Amino acid sequence: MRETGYWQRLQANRMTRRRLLAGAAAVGAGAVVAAACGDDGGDGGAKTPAAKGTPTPRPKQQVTANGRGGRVRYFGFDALPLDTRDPHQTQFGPMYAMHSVVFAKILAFDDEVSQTMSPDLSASPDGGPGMPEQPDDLTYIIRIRPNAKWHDTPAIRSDFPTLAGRAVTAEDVKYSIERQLNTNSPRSALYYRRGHYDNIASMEVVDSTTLKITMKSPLSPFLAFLADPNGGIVAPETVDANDEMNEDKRMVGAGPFMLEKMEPVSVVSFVRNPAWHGADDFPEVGTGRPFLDGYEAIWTPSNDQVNEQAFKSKQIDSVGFDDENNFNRVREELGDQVNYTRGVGTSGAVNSRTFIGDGVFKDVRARKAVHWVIDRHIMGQQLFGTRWNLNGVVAWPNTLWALPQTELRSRPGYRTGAERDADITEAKQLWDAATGGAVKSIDVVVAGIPGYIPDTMLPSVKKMLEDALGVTLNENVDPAGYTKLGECFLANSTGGAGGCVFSLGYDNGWVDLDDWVYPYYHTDGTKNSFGLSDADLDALLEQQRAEFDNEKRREIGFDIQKMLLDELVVRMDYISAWGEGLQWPYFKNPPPPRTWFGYNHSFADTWLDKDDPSWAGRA
Amino acid sequence: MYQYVIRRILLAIPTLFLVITLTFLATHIRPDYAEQAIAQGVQGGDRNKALEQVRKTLGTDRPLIVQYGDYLTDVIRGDFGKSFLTKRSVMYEIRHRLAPSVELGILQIALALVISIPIGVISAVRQDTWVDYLLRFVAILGLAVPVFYLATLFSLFAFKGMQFSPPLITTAYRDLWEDPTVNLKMMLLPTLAGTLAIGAVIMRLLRSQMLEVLRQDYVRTAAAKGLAGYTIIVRHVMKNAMIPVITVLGLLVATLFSGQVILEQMFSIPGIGLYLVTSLRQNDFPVVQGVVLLVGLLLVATNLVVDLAYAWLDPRIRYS
Amino acid sequence: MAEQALETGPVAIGAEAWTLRPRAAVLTTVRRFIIRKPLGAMGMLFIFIAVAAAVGAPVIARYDPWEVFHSVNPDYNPDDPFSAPSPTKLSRLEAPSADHWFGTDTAGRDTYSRLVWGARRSLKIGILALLLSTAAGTALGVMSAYFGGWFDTVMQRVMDAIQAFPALLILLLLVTLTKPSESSMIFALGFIGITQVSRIVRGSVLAQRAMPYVEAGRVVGCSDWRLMGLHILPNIAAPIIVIFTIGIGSVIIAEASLSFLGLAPPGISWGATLNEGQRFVYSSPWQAVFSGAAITMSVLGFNLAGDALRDVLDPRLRV
Repeated sequence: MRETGYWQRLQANRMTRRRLLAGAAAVGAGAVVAAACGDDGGDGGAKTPAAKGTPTPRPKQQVTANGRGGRVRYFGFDALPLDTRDPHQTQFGPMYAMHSVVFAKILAFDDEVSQTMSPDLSASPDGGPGMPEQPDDLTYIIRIRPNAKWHDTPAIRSDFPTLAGRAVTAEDVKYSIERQLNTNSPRSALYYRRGHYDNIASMEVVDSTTLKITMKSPLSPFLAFLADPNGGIVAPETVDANDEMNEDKRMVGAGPFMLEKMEPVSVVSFVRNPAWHGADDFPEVGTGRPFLDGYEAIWTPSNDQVNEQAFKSKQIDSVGFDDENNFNRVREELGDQVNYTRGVGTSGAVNSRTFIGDGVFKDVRARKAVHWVIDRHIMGQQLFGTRWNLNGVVAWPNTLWALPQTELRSRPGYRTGAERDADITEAKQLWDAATGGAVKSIDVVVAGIPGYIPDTMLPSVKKMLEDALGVTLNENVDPAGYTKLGECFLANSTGGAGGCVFSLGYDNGWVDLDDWVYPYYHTDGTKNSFGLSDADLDALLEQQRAEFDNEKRREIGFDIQKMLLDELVVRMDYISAWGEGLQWPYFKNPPPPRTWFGYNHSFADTWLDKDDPSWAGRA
Repeated sequence: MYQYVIRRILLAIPTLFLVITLTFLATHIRPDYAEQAIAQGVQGGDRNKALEQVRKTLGTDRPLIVQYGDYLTDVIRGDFGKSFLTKRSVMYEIRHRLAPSVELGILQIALALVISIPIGVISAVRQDTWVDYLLRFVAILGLAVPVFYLATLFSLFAFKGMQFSPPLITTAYRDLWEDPTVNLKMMLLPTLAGTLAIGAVIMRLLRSQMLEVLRQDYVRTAAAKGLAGYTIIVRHVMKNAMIPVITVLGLLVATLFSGQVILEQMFSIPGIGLYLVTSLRQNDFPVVQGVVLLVGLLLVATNLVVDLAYAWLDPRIRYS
Repeated sequence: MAEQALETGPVAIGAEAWTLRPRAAVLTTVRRFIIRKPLGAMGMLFIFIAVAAAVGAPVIARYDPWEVFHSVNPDYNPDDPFSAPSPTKLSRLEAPSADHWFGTDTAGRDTYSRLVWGARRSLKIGILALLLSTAAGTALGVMSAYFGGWFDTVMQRVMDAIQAFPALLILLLLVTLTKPSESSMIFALGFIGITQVSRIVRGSVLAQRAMPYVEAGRVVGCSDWRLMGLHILPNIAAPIIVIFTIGIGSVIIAEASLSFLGLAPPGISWGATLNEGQRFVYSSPWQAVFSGAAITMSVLGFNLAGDALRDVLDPRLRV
């Protein structure tokens, strides 16, 4: 993205905060799953087309008379407000978690893996929940639930008297989209999702609850974009003169819960929104949702001993573990007393980016050599035991778009045994041919967080490269986490000083195919730090955007991924973890397993069964 | 006595300034690392502009001496800046986390005294018996075991062996006067783990002091007068042997704090130590500086108080 | 501690014997030391073990500390993403066995070998930091006591100020402000140690200054520097040796604490190994127990040896 504009460079600059979290989240793969439940997470294949979403049924337990009230407690990363509280100006996971319950969106994902979604603010013509109307591929008619109201508390009434309890209007939705497209805003660089909306030709407020959106050209992931973690609808009243809403008191939305208290790195708690528009949408689960009085996300101790003790003594209602041995033992000890859930996997992924504009990796043979000799199987087990899988370009938990494991397993770098030995021999030849044997060392910038990247992963990768290619890595570990990586990616993107040829660290996880590939690998992509510009690839990237047939789009996605894996090799993708969790049986309808932050809205269905025998001892 | 007090207080003033200066130098001589980390969070402009902006905001673009002047003013006003993370003043954050740390410290010292005084006395009175050897070995072992190792072992034993698990979520913390049961349950293991190192120091010092005093003529005189052994030990020997122990308590506060950082983090106690480590991990520089300075000042003050107490207890000091 | 003067009797062990029959005297000295100071001898033994491990790591460690052990995975099933995903099986968190005396760590590496190599970092930082603080502390202490006056007053205040910071706090500050490295840790820990060394040296020099030989030296026209370096310094060697020995122990603990908090520079470190082991101490306690024992034993070694040396060399010293 060397020719890209000023604001795009800024966007790249802002990447680092988000990336820090990417790392943090995987440390707590367990923590992500801590809030997770449901048994069907693992095999989420293509169920429902992403392009034209339909509501999905929810097999959930109906709330009992004694099931209302109470507060759920769990460990997680939610209480880390490292970034702005503005839902449109952050890509930081924990902020997403908070935004997902406070702010209502047009649509909400039921499951990010299959990209199935339900209407949130979106209404049918009769005013009940309904998906946006799509008369043709270019037009979306979005109706707003007539009963949707902004949060109303005494504090909000005093801070924003005109807003408290006011109806959510089509104007609010239009405003929320327009502000992200406003390049004159001083915060314009932080509208990461402008790319989701800049294909909009016009927005017309038909009446106070109806918005008609016309696209310039067909954009297949548009509905997914409306359910995106950044898709929260905000009220103009809460935005300050700087076009920002970075204060707790400005966190006024129309979602199922209201922010109660944010104690950074300690706890963030939410209380029930008694006037939520979705209260009676699922009578089979119960009317008057949310059932909980609220919930508390307690800052993760990142320590399995604490996890175990706090869960066993019912100080928290669900738990995940960093280490699978700990998990397996506790699960065995508690046996039938608790419910077991398996997470879909954390789509945030460990990888290495190269810079191909100059230096050793300008030659694709050098990139291939490194790509091939890194043993994902050792790396995976070292970091996550058996709880991981191989990653291609799209992380494996996003099974809708990711290249299947069997495809990956047949490729160099992912193969094992004799095939791997042959790959290593060939890699050495490629390396020598590319470098003439002259390159003896490569500088690498390494994320210092989580600790296993510098402590476990780096030495292993070093050893693999040394043994196979005779090349040493000169590491530059960033104890602060992702500051240096952010700087070097920015420099790579803009051609400035301080770039780096090689990196090692976490990258964020996404939902739709477009988010996984377009910003990174398109010549004009906002995250293209590789110096990559390939006309064939660009064409494919454009093509998938216009394809509404999910199967065909998936095929294009596979082609894109194969091209990146076999020919371009600008990023070495390694592995992602999956997680497991335990819940006490009194914890009913816990949120299903999630791939990433930003999908806490399903806490609206959660309830605490005080009649369940396991409730005894829960203070 | 007044003269001594005044002299001692006057002597503490340059130390206070030096502590402030040292903190200042440590944090301002090479601020680029901090600046770059902060610049990550600043929006607008390219990297160099962002850095420039950060330097301007932090004031690190000005000469060191000017910065020092401002720093002094701020410190004297009790203004340690704002936490990047919580956006509240560092003073406020610290104040709200002081109680658990202070309580844990007091509990450790109290328990250490309760355990180590009788042990020190027994060890001295029974000098060179197997009891003495055993107790001395335990004491020297106590100095060698890192507090985090002991805490790990204690928590392993308490949980696996006795099914004891303390409240472990930070929000479960209750002040002592609010809910003593919860509070003490939370403090139990860290207190036990932290006590050994401090107790060992006290015990060793007390023992050697006792032995020295036991050889004094007045003790022999007391014995010759026919006073009971118990009376001699308690009224004559211990009273004098305890004086240096009090001095060492002041120095132990530093040891205590180092342990605190680790113990609070291991046992989820929402005190200064946990806050410091969390802030460090999040690059919250104002907090780190504030805590470092505050602890430094606290220790200077403690030493002053201890010195004064020492002088009050032992008249020889004030006149020397 | 004072009582040991009486108990030990001939303070300079074998001083007279040395001049007569050196080799036999050494043996006698060692034997007498072991008999009189069994704990001190035990400390020396621990130090010897730690030093031997650090120096001879490539020989003593049974494997490369980074070597990853794995075997064939019997549960491998490529069709199920949630079964063991790899045909190889990492030897992860294994209990002690003939192959792995102390078991294996979470990355499938040999814990024994890592602890042997870990001795390097602990001892290197411990010894170098103490060399720094002893050298600087002695110089400052001698000058402070010898010259007295305003120099002494200023030095005392500076030492007060430095001592006001807990060692770990200074280390933490350092980690925040710079990229942590072994050399910066050595510098910081050595810097903190200066206060204690200089205080004790100052006290000893004050005592020495009153001795007739100093006066005599001055009378015959020795320069200040000559007096300090050639006459006073050898006479205060005993406390310096003692504080050097005991100081290493506390530096090892400080380094381990920082590693335990995960804030030390990367590399093999006992504190980091313990921290890692602590994460699964309920499931497989081996790594935590052995790493903690390694730290404890070496610190105990230096403390016991230091205590014994003090009893022998300078019983009145309070460290």
